Amino acid sequence: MWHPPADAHSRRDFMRNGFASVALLCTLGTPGTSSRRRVVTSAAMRSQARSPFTPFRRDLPLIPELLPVRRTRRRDVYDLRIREGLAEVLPGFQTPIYGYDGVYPGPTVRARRGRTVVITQHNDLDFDSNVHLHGGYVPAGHDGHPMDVIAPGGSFEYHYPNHQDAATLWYHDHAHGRTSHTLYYGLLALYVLEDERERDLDLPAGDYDIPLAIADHSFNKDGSFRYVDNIDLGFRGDTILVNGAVSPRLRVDRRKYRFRLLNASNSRSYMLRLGRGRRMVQIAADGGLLARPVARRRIPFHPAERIDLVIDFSDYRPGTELVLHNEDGEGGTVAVMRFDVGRGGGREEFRVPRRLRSLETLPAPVSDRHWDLGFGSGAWQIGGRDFDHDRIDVRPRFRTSERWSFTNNSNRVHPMHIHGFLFRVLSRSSGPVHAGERLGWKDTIGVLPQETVTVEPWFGPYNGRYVFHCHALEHADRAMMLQLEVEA
Amino acid sequence: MRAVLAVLAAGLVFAPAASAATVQAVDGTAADNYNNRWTPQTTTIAVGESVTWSFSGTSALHNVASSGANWSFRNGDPGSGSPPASYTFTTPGTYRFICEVHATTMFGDVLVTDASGNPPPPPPPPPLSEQPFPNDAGPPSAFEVDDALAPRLTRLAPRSWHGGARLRFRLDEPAVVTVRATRARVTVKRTRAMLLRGRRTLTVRHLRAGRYVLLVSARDLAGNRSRVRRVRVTVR
Amino acid sequence: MRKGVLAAVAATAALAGATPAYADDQTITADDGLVFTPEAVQIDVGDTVTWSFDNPTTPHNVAAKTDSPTAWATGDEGNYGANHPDVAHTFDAVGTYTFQCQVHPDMDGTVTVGNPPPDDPPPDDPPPDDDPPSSPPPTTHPTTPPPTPSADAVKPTVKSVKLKALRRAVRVRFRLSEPATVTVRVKRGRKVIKSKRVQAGAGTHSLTVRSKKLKKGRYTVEILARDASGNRSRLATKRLSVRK
Repeated sequence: MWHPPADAHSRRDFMRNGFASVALLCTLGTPGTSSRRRVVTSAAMRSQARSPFTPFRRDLPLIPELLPVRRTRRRDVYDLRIREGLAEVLPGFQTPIYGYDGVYPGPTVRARRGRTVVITQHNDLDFDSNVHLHGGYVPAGHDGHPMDVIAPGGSFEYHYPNHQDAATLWYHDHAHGRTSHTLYYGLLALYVLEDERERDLDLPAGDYDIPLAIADHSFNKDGSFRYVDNIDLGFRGDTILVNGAVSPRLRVDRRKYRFRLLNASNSRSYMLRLGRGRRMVQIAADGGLLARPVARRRIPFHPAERIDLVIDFSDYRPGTELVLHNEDGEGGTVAVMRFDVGRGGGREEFRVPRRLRSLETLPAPVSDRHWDLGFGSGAWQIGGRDFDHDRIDVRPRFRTSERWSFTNNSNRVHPMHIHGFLFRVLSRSSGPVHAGERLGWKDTIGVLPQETVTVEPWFGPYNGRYVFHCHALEHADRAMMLQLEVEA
Repeated sequence: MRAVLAVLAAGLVFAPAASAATVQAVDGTAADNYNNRWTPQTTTIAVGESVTWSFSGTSALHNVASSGANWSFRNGDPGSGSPPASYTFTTPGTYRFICEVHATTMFGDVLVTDASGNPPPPPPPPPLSEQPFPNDAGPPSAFEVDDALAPRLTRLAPRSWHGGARLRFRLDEPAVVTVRATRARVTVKRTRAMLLRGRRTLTVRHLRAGRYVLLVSARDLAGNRSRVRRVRVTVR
Repeated sequence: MRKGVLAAVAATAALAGATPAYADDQTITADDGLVFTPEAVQIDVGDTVTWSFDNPTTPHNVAAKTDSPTAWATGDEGNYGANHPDVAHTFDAVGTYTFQCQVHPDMDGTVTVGNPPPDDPPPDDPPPDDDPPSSPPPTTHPTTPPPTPSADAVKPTVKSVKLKALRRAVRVRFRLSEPATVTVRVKRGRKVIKSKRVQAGAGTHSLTVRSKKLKKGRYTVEILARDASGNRSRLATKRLSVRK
């Protein structure tokens, strides 16, 4: 039977005054590596008796929302520092991270359509960084092009006009050649864009609208993140973190919840299932709401994609525990998180209407482009070319749509992403396009091995130089990226 | 084949004084099934001797570099069929070398004994920040655990009613509720009903006037039973 | 098992001293030496192999071996003679095809047809330790070090907490000494009615916590701040009575 050390405070004091009040300084590790102060608390001692990787031991952390510095009539002004920090990921350990304001996952920005958001990003790191709002309609100079970096010590004011439909976006580092490391160590955060139309639909909101950032990581014995380079497969971790906790649990009421899922992994694709094949209702994809809700039991989920799901827990009896799991995982990468259904819930105020929106029809595509994805001489390539920031690979015309086909000649999944523009998914060679991808706008599409996927991007509302690339970060950093320029 | 065997023999059998051991990079074209490794993986020499790494017969890109804090060596950028590279070891110890392109499989050690042939000191263990902490938790045993919560009966309010007893209560999940009217520990009458969640009422009828103790319990669809609650009621 | 065959093929090639290469159309020559040269070739799907015999006196032919891993036929079976004309065959499917001369059964060889990756021969199952495709770490590739945050022992402080009861909401105003993650909890007795987590910089902030459960009664608001290094502030508590 484990007993706390003699000088530990009582549990009540511990809960009131926080972890720092129980200051047990105990160095783990060989002498000479204690340049970092590590506080090991009684919670740590307790949790180390059991493995820190045991799933469902921690409650789902709620990602903090970023408070603005100033709100004026037409814009919200924020200030963020890109810096190092310490996160508590494994219970009892402090994990060094890079984060927006030193937090992993970074603070969520809640934006409203029509209100400009201005975020001043300060780079407090030793190397270049920048910020890309993934899925946003952003002018080229504020999009986080890999070459537009903020030097260490510098800062940049990003302006996000938010003239687009409500969607779950995210922002993350995009400095050239670094993304596989900077995103892995924590430089990512959510950006939730809301609008009036979505508010009128009475979808679950407030406490019942929960973002879930899912990523796979591996660890070292001191609790730090362990990164192993793998140019072929991309990084594969052995533990799934949701909002920075190892396979957590969430107590839910017996009512509808909206979950905004983000695949924040470097390159792992998931196949999500709930319990024993339970229904999950998808209401939105990367670029916003779908035309109508789509019921799914099995959801393929590729890096950088976002999926909004509504789950009605009143279908389950109190005390039911539902595990959201990854069918394509093994060992520690199967369990994603667990929902513990509670007793009550109060009156249901939310609903999922049968029609969510009407999708705009695109003008007829003016051209057809074909991109081969594969491994060339020494690097991953699109269309047989590496990334060259001095070369423009395609010049679409402003405010037109084109048909783009990606053919995957390798045996690895490539989630292809276009900056600055959204697309519709037209066809897949591996079978019919699922309604969850077909009935909405997307900005990232997973191209399976030996498959050809055809999408129709629309090149507006802003012109300029953007990039498009594979979002398996190890591939993107090894040159699987090309440039496009839309001329006015 | 003969050439490969000769190298193997040299590495394992003998290392004459002031001469070199040779480590051969092995590609996918080798006679055995391993891809991308060094042969031999461990070489033992005496202090003052040297080791040569050769890449003949390989077609993939390789190089050799030190891995570890106790020495520093790199023959250059990875190339295909690079010329051999050598290093002379002057201090006993264990020295790890890798190919930077295939570091996960192409690694090896040079054990340098001192002049009298004593085994070298073992390498210092890497700091905790470099030792992997693998996830030892297996997949969850069940993806769905049904209802494990017992139903709860609250706000019990009994009253006498028309030759019986009526009990008002709150139920928090659909359950079968049983009310037993007892007198001196003997059950006189029993009523049972399947009820949904909310404010409910159950009546035990045809009771003679007197004092009774009502025992109430609930059992939900999954079979979880609640506590048995007792309330007193006087039937007029 | 495919891997074994490929290895055997590779072994054969190594023994013969030739490194097979994936290439376009190949020519295999047979001469007086009673061997096919080269004995093993590797080609892409759709390429052609031509066997040419430049020996006027010795009869030869080229036939598919009956135990070839991939069944096929050259069309030259049973047709042997001296001064044998060239035989060509186009391979349309991935596989391993073994052939021999029916006059001299020791005279044989292999044609491996595949879709090769740029450098290494493709195994059917991914190699157990996930060999990456050979690529040099580009010399201009930036190296990003893992984070090493410096020890910051300064705890954040939460001061000047002001509460205002609104209809079904509480407005909380506070001053923060450094950027931190702030958790605001509204409790009734011991039960937490609503909690909110925000990220704020140094300075004065105001946020509104809304909940339908905030009816008339006495509440306690707790504020806890945690900075990026993990230091936590003291818990700031304030009581509030909601009258409406």
